[in-house]
Amino acid sequence: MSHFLDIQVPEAVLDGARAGDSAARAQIFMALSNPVYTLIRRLVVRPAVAEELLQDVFVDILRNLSLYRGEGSFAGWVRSIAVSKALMHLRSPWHRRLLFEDAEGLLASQPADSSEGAHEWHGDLERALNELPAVARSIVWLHDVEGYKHAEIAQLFGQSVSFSKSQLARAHELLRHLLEPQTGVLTCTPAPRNS
Amino acid sequence: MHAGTKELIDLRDGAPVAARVIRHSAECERCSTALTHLAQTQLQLRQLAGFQPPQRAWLAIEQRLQQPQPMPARAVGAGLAATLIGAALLSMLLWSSGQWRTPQPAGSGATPAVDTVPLLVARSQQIEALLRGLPRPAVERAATSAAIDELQTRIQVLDVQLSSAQEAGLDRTEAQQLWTMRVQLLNSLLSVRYAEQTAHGDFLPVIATGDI
Repeated sequence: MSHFLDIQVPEAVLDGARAGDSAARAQIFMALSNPVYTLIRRLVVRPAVAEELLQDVFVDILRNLSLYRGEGSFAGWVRSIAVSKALMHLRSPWHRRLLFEDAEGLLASQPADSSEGAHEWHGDLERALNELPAVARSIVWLHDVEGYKHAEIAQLFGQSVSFSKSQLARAHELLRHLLEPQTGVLTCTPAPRNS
Repeated sequence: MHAGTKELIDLRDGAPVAARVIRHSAECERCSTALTHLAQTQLQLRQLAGFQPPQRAWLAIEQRLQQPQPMPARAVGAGLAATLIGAALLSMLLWSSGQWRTPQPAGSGATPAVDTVPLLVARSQQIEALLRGLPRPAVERAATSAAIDELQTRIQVLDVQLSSAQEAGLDRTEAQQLWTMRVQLLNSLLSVRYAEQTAHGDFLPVIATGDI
């Protein structure tokens, strides 16, 4: 489940950061940078872009701490900002240009992080996840890992609940096809009753 | 009939599904395997290792925090609107004073070789269609709203001039200049409306404006 749900930032630290205390700001970064960076990496994949977005997220958060009024968890507020930034990037013309470059094989030529893929299935799943189209990958991550509801995802994408459900189903069908090519892509087409 | 992936995901997540899907998935090997795979994949996704942000990230963030804040989007929008209106007004002024009229060679009959008015009319219609497709925000900002009103008034003045072009004895070159100005004003209006949308954080529709 989402790592964000376990993170608690003491109110005193938030107050310190609001007052401009550098140590308090660093404490917030230390508490949340790993889950924020992981979330962004899962959505946008490219490390360089993810690092830039990570900076954008924390600069926005630390400059606008006064906007967090204690309704809901602080980590949840941070997560919503990170998701919003990552999805804005995916909608941008800049991202569409990168997609074109990815199609040319630039992303495939990047070495994988050495810290990743402790087990073989981890590596396979990482690769399969990265091969999904950006929207499908984002939706499968937001729903299956971060625990977003279809209605929330639909709102984030400006689409219907049905769109979210279809994209999630498609993402799982593609993942299964990539992980077990012999099974083929499962579809909703009617088949003879198995009884 | 086998269960679809959407139904199996709902079943996995404990969402409401038809009773026949539950019965079938319990009996059908293919569907029960697919359901198990969906659950396993979700579990494995949750167990994937996280990523460590680069160590330099905090230093970069601290540096950015020490820099002055960039101008907020609404201020940028208002500034853009003011610039565009200024440009449009300057164009109007230059045209009305005659400085912007294309000099015609002596004896040429003051008629351009190519009549571009139909193209400019078509471009006007194209931009107007784009403008119709842009929703207005529920809450308008005073600066942007004033800019939009100003541009629309200028366009209305041009429309009056164009509608009485024959009576006023405007030649083709002058009509062409009026239509050019109308396209420029419409472009300015489109830019202000885009700025307005951006300032409100609304997502813009995907419209190719590169050639406008």
